[in-house]
Amino acid sequence: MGDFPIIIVLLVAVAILLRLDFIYYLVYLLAGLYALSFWWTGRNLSRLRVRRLFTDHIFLGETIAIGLEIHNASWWPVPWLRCEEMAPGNLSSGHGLRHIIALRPKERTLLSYEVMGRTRGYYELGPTVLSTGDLFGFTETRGRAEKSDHLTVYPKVIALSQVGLTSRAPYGTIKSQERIFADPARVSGKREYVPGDPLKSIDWKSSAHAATLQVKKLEPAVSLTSMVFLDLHSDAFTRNLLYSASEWGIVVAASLANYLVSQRQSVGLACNGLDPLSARKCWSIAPRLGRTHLMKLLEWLARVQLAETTPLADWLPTATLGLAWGTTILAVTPTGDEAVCRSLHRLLRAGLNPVMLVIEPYAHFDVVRERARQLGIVSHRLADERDLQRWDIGALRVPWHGGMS
Amino acid sequence: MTTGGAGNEYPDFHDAGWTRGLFRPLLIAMVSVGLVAGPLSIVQAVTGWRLSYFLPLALVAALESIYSTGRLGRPKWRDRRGLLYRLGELVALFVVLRLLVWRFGTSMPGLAEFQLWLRHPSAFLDDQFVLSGLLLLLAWGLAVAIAGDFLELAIQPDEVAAQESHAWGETSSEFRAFRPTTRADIVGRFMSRWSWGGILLVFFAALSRLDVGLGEKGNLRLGLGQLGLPPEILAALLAYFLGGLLLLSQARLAMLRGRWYNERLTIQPSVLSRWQVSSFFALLLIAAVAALLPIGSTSWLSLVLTTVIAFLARVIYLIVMLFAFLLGLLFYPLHFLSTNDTQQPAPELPKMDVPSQAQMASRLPDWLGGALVWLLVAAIAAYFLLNYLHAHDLLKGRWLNWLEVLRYWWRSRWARVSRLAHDTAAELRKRLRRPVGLGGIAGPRLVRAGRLQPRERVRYFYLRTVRRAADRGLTRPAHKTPLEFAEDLEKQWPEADVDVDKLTEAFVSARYDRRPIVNTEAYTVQSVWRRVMRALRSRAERRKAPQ
Repeated sequence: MGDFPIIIVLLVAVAILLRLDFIYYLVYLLAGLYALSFWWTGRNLSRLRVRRLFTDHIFLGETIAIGLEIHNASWWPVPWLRCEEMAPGNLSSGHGLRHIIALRPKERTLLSYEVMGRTRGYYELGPTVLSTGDLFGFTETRGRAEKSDHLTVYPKVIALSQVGLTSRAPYGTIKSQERIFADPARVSGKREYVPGDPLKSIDWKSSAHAATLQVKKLEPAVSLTSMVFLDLHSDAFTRNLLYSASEWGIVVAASLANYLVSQRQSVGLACNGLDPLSARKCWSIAPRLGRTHLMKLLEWLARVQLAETTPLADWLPTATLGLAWGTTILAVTPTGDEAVCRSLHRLLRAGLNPVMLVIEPYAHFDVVRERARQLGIVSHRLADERDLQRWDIGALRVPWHGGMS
Repeated sequence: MTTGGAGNEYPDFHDAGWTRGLFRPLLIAMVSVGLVAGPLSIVQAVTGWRLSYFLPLALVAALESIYSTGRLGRPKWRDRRGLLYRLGELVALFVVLRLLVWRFGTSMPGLAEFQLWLRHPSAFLDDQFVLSGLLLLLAWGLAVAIAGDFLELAIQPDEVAAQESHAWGETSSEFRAFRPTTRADIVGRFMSRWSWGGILLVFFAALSRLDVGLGEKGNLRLGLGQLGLPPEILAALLAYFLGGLLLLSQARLAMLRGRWYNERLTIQPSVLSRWQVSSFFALLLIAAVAALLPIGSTSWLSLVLTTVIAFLARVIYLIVMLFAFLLGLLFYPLHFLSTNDTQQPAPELPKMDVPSQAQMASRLPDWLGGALVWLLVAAIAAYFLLNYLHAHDLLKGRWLNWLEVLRYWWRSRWARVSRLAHDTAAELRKRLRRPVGLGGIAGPRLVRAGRLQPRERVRYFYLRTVRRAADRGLTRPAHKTPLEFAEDLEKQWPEADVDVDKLTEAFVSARYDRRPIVNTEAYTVQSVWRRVMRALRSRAERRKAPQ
């Protein structure tokens, strides 16, 4: 197309030298078309509005359609528009969006492509690459719709029915065998008064009715207010298990949170990994009840990443300062090294209820468990899904103790 | 995009979605005719011929060539002989043109013209036919070239194969389609052809304003005949440029379409369907706005440009003059070298070649050469034409039967002629056949005995003798051995019986024995042979003597 301006110049020269008026018309025609092509193409992209329509949170394995609404806000048509948007590598379920469309003035069109949540994460969608040109091949332009959206893929959640967790927090909703946790709000029956029963336990109405002293039988109960501590300090992991073990740790944390919320218990989350959205490296979410809170926890777990941050053992004392007495600390740690054990022991002495969950398939877990036992800490090895299920089934067989095991 | 040949497992691919339709052929025809309309008006202005038939004919020729190009591009037509087909097409066009020139341009030929063409075949090609033929060829060629470009811009079968191939389980083959010429190159080629053709057209448009005539003294007179352009030139310019721009838009679409196809992009159907309308309206808009702008020299832009160009022209003129002056100064001292007054000898007049009386008498009829030329031309043209008609399946029914009859007639005649020629040749060969020696040495007269080896020389003497005997009426039958033939010779020539025996023995020994033959033996045989020859000569003289 490089000849075109030369042709125009030649025609101008011919028109002037030969004084041919009609050639001026041809010059106007060609030059006008040339100019129009540049002007039209240049303004096309700036008048386009691109909006994504999609569900921004999905579960693992779920497939959703990402809609891309393109609106031509101009009074000029767009003869052709090339729209390209690639799904992030982990979500791709095809070629992404690769369409050629034409838009009339003020026309909206909706394009879509599918993504599948294969791996948990916090993904950026876009930018949409747009290119357009004129009808005669003089020019082409390329641009990007910079507005990007994010898609959260929740981590995998393994359903647990009953996990052997202990609590020292009184007045909860979970039955306990420890009489010390007898809940005056949970009356289970009456019995004859025996000397030594406290006077406050006498049910005066029943005594009047039975003409003998009756004492209320109270059901012991505990609350399992828990805080899941997820260790994502990259140095804590064995090098070759860095990715798989850290991802498994996130699955364990998510499954525990899901279980505790389903048991109507307050659960919080603390992690020394990096949250890419807030750029915080050590963060915690206070224990709360309910599914909404669970979704919040899952969202944070969806986007958390390994990072070189404060080791868990160093961070635990400060991270647990605000927790109530008796709160169960579920420390999900890769190896359960001595420093973590000692740190958890300090929490135990501070009145909290630490449980250590070791997630790497450590060859000397017996040593770790013995060390933890000596320090009064319950420890479990949850190296894979089978371990987790075994822990769950074991808890079903062994009834709730309501105390330290 | 569709494929042809339903039911075939691997049907031929044909991009029917691109090649079908009337819009593009009309545009191509418009551009082709527009290009020749300029020169045509010049021809009309200069010669004053009536060429009203030409533009419709050029339009038909362009449309026909586009149609033919499209058909030749189809996979089923691959085996058609393209050059023959094209030549047939041209012959058909020129036949029609010739008839139209006679009908509308000059007058229908009479007997005198036919006689003239027989004597002078070149008289058939009169000026009007030649000029309009060249213009027709230009329109036809341009249409073929542009149609070919657009055919190449379609999606090609190898591109489809590359995309649909599933070699090694991949969704596409590693062997991508190779295109020796990219679509961008093809579009560039079209663009270049169209734009420079446009400049040419503008040049002819400028020429059409000139008034050409003869002055009072008979010299050629050139002048500005009119200020504006003739309406047909205006129409041609508009048709050429508007049609070309629309074609440019189509070429752009083809290029993008090919690129999108190879990159596996999903193309919304509206992109293709709206393209023509959008480009048409964009062009219409610009054309309308351009029509409202001040035209030509009245606009301020033109005045400014005129001034600038005039200034530049003067500057260039001054520079050239300055250089010329400096060069003149530089070469002034050498001027005396070219000032000698030597007179050139007058050139000799060429000698006239006057034929002699005998040459005049031996000349063939003057119409014979022309007739042969016409026969040859007619045969070639008929061959091309038949090939063309056959390719189009136009030879059907009565025409085909008639042709078949003609073909059989010609075959039988040809067979008869060839048989006759064959027989004649055989007879001639028989007559001219010379006896060939037993040893396979042909033509003893062609051999010089002194240069032969002793063995060959012995055989030569014997074969000469046999040949001489044949001249005397005693031909050696093929079934007789040399010894048997020697008996015949002895009966005929009893005076030389001993020598004949010796000669035959020497020949048999030289021919069938491996022992070496020395020179002295060859000389002995030579003397024997001479004696035989002498005896024969004396015998012949004796026979002649009584007479």
